Amino acid sequence: MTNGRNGSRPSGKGAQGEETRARLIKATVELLATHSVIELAATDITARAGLSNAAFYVYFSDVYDALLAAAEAVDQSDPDLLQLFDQPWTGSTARDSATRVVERYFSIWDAHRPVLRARNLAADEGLGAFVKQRQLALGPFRLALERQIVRSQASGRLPERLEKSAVASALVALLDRTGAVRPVYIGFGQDWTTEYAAAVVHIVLSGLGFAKIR
Amino acid sequence: MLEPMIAAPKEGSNRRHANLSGQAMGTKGLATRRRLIAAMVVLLERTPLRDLTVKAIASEAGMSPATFYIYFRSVRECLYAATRTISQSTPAILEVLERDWSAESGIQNSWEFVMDHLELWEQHRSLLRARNLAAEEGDPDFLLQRRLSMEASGKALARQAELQQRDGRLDPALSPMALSGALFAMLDLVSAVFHVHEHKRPAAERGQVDAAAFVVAAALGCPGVVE
Repeated sequence: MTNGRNGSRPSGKGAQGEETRARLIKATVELLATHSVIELAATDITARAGLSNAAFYVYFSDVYDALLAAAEAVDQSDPDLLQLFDQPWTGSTARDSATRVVERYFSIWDAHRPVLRARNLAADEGLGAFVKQRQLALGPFRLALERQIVRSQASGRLPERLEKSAVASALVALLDRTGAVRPVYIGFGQDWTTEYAAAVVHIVLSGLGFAKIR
Repeated sequence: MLEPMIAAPKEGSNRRHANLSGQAMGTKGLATRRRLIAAMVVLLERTPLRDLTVKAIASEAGMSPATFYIYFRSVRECLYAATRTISQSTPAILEVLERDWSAESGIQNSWEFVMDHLELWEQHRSLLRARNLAAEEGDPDFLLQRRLSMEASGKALARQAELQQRDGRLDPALSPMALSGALFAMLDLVSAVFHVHEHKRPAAERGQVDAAAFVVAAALGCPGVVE
């Protein structure tokens, strides 16, 4: 299991060491696209990278350690995503804003699905380093959602009693899970994922539809 | 070592009551097979999926690996047998989804629905997580199991969306089934990660249920959501 080699990694290997490490991470990412993380072995990774088995353990304590390094390279709160929250979501543009957020979030999933899926499994299984990595990766995105939630609460479109962090968690859960499974639906020829995730995000964040109820 | 994913035996094949040598399983054989499945489920509670081996499962069941291979070709096949016993359309979930959600009680129903879903995950978290992983990795048997397991509850939630559309509370352009799929996706992940912080902030857990219930009710256009 991951035992924090990241903190005690031997230093001073210089540019060549960095390059070897990057090759191992690249091989891990490529293998995850075709093989289950459950079955992936360090020897598979070194074989793919064209390195000796011993080389792997210079850089990583085990496969999960390499996976963690691969996950750290994925920015789930990238600037293109965050800047979509710069404008308040009001009126007729709110749905478009929600759609762009969902599209951007899914495009990050589409580009890094095998790594994110394996990362989420490790985090869901309660491995501390992966739980922490997921929180860090999603942190700025969650904060952006929370700011929008506070705006909606201030304008009376979202109940004050709801915790902003819990609503943000629910929306991140919706996006993350849908991002993970969307190829299945696309494979069935039913790509409803973007439209419907956007609809839920929009309805919740902008309080659409509540006006005519009240 | 990497091995190709081995397809699990199909439902209804004549292998169903026979072991892998083709011998019919009697009461004793079926009991042994059940013990192996139970041992795997117990192990899964405390072992990451990656570390789950035939040797560990056999040892937990007090058997030899050779015995395991009489009944299953791989851990994956044993896992498939275990997931087939789970339904995500439980009587409790179907009952709450068949109530009238159009009245002020919509948010209360939504809250109970979220709690029932969490309860199901609480009971089968490791198995559901393993099943979902295999499904997302593209294993067709696990995909089918997930679809069948959610079919009735997915339809029931879609029916609620249809009723809200009929009453003019929900955008008629939205597909009820797709909306239902998106909401179940959210609940699956909320439930999957629910235990991760469990013992640290109990108050936050209550807040999380409230938020998820709100999202479901709001997405369905239930009245009484905003005070």
